[in-house]
Amino acid sequence: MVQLTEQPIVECRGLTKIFRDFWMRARVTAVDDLNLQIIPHEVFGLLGPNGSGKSTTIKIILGLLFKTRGRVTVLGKLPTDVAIKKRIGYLPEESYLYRFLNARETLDYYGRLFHLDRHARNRRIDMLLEMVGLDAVQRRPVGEYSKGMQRRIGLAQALINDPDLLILDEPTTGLDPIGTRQIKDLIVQLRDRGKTVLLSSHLLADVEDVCDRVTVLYGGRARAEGTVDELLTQHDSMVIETGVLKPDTLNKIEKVLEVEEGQAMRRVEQPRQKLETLFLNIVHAAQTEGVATSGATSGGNVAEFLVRDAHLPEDLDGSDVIDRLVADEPVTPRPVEPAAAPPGPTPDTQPDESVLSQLSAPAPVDIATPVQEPAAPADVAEPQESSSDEPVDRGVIDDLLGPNGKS
Amino acid sequence: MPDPRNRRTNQWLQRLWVRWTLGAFVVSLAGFLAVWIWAQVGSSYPWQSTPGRLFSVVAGLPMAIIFAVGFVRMLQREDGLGGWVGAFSTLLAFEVGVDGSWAGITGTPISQTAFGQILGYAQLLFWEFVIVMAALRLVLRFNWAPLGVARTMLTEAMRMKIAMVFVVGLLLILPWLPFLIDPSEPVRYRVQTFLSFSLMATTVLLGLMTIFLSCSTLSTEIAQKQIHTIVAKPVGRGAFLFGKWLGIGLLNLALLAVAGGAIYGFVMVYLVPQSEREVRDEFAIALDRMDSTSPDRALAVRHEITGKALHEQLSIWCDEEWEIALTKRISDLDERIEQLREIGSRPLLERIQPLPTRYDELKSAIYEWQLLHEGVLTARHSVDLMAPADLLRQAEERFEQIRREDPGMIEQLGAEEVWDQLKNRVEYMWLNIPQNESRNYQFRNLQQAKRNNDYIQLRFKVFADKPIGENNVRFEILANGRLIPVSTPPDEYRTRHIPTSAIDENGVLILTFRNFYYDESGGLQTLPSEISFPYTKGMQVLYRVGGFEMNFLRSLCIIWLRLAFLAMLGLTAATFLGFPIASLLSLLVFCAAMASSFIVEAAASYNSPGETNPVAIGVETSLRVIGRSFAQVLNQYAKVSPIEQVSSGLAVSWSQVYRAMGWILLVWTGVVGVIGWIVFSRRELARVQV
Repeated sequence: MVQLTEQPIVECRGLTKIFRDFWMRARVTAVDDLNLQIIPHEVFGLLGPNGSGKSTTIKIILGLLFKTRGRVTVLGKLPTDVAIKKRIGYLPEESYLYRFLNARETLDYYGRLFHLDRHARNRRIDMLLEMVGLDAVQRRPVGEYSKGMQRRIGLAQALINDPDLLILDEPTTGLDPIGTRQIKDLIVQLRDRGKTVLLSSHLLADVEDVCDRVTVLYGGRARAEGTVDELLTQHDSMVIETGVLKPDTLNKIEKVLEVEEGQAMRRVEQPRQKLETLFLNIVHAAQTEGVATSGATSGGNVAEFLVRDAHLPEDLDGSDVIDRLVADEPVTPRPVEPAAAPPGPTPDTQPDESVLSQLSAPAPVDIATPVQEPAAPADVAEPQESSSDEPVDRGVIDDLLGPNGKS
Repeated sequence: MPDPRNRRTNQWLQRLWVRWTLGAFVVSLAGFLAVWIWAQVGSSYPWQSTPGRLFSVVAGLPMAIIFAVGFVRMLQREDGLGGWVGAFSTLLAFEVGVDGSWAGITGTPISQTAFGQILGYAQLLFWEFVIVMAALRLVLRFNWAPLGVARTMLTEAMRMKIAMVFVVGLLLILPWLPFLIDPSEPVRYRVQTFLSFSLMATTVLLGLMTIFLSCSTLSTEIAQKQIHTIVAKPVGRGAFLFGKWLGIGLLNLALLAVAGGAIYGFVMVYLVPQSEREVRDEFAIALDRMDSTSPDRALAVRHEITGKALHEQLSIWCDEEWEIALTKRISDLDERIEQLREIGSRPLLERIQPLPTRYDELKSAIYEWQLLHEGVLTARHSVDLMAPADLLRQAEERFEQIRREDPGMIEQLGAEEVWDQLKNRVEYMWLNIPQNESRNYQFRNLQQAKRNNDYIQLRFKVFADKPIGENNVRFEILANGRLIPVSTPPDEYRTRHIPTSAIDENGVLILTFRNFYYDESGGLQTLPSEISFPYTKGMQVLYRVGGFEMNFLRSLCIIWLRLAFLAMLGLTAATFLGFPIASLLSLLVFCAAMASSFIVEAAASYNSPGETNPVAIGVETSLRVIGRSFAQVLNQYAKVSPIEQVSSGLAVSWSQVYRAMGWILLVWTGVVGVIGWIVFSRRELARVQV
């Protein structure tokens, strides 16, 4: 449960959406009495199987569909208010793009809709195209792009206005593992820079990696809500990670466990590398060898305008921004922190000391419970301070770019 | 991070691009220069000699092939303005190559054939279109969301087949039309035909393009869900709809500018000079033969030639060199006349066999030229004949008489029918002049004509009520003391000039038509027949109120206003219908609007006499009411017929334009737009997906 220290950026109360047929007979109840609060600076996940009402909820939040009952506010206003759209970025479940425009023209068009002046528009387009790795193919009509490339350009258009609220509907669909990793890293970075992200997905790994809080939907109703750790932590078991141990040592540990805790050691195994890491390493190697590709390249750093400090002018030289980014503290302390370690983009590539330190700490008491009502004050856990010394993690991308890569 | 190799490749390509573009220009220029030098040195064009033809093929063919391939590659690249410049230079080089090799093989450059000229003009129009579109995109660069939508709309039109099919069709048909018209027709008919055909083709093609484009752009965006991304941007649905409409409107503006320019250009550069050439030719022949003819005849011709009015007209197309030749001819002619006079007596003059002069043909050519400029390439206001007040009274008296004396007739035919017949009869009698009688006809509100013109035109069509064989109908018109003899074939529109001095201070012109005439010897003659004029448009006074150019421009304005309405209609239909149904609905309205006057007439005359079945009568009445009200609503659309007006030299007034602006743009487009906006705003743009 969360404690609301700020006005929710998106709030749904008793949201119900019933689709009717031509004769106005109720045909499908897509969303049923849903309560949802997304607070600023968090990554909120809408999780659920196909047809559980995730996309419908997002479309109501965007004003594409109208609620049947209940109340929805986005940035404090109704979803149909045009003014709030200036602060929203949206990536639909498929990138619906104009086939006759090329990547640059596409971004230019959306930039115009945000009233961005020419200079800012061009600068942002350059940065975004580089970020999503499409700068080399920017003159090709997007109708010729592969699905993954279309997702990338879709992501770029969602970011062109440097949104405060980023709504991503199945963002990793159709993307290769590099793109997937990139989006996940981006989401974390944006969150760290004070943005709010609403993520809808049925890919559990995506949600687990990046979300601070999730709501699990089924049949249009919320079945569970809480922080990822609240929902996932197994409170009846522990994992100790260490180097390879000799069989004798293992025997000794088992005996200690029997004597001290009265428990048997259930499983001892060597951890496996993730397939994602293996894949990224292979691509990295191919790129180092200079193997040609006609598709998207791996993409560059996150566009500067997305990660700059709010007080910095946008046309400041890129290297200055990076220097200051490195020197500055992250902008906003997050009011909500997962009970366990923050979800780093590459948890498998960095030893996570917080896991060990937690082993000795008392276990968190909150256990995820099915959600019946919106978070009541009694259920809300104390907010925890964000670890302010947490570095901006460019993990995998920097890995891929190697020592000469721009960072 | 971008691959530095890509960047290097791009730079290399960019340099190659510039070199290629420049190279193509240089090669084209070299081609022209080679022909010019060849013609200067050998005093004949290369394709007029065997070595020259060989040279043309050897130089032209590879050039054509290389640049054809280059052109295709250019189009594939799609690289903004630079791309267009490159494509243009490449196409030019390709065409020089094709023209050269074609001239080498056939002996005639393709650019000198009608086919080549049509293609050349079409290409000229295409580039004009590209430039106008680039200018529009420049105008739309300002930072306002609807302008961004309009800009993308233009890009869509340029790149999607649905609009380009009509654009290419228009750009091919317009240059083709002048070559399709029968060259044996008098030039004014050719100009009239070309004006009405080309404007009609433009209206229909652009109308269809507008309907299909406006229906497809919105319905496709909704069906293919691009609208999902748009709705998440800070542009209201009304603003989005307005942007789409603006884009289509501007596209129509660009196409109308190109088509209008082309039509005006073809009339002025291709057709009008033909009329002038005819006069020149006839004039030259007349001059050549004049000195051999009788002195009186020669004197008369000389008098005509040097007469002020004719001289003024001729000076319009006489260049200086020709003027000098003409003056010399006239002085030669004067000398010859003097000689003939000196030679002496009449018998001697009679012995000189006079060659037939072409004087009549010359006069006819000049008359045609005059008609072209005064009847077609002008803007005239028309005033219809004013029926005297007692005319209707006569009909009413007669109707009352019938009601009293023969009520059975009214019962049998119906009061409306009897009244119509009576009215027609009275009007016919009024416009019918028996033998040896005369009748006055009155035109009013001619103050402006008197103020601004020296003469007005009387346009009429006359019938002889009895057969008069091959003869012309002859009668006289008396206008304020001035006698105008008329001799004209029956049932044909004719025009006579009447001095504005005949109009009184109140702007009233009274013309006395006399069904008799005085022959050359002064004897009173009369036709063996009554003469009559049809009531509607049988007699009109026309006077010039402006030039052709502005008239043409105003007619284009009205055409654009109609297209603007169609664009909004299509967009509104697409807010709640899919593409096929939306375009069918828009087409239905378009066709009904075009034919609304016909529908009104058809609905009015739709009845089955003798039908007694009440159901049938009910259906008939309902159909009549529905048809009439539907067409009445759309009647404003067809009421102003700029095409007919501009091609018959009638003024399309600014008030007509303002009225069209008020009705078609503000009321209709506004109302339809508001409906579209309400529907679009209230519509859920996503569909059920659970």
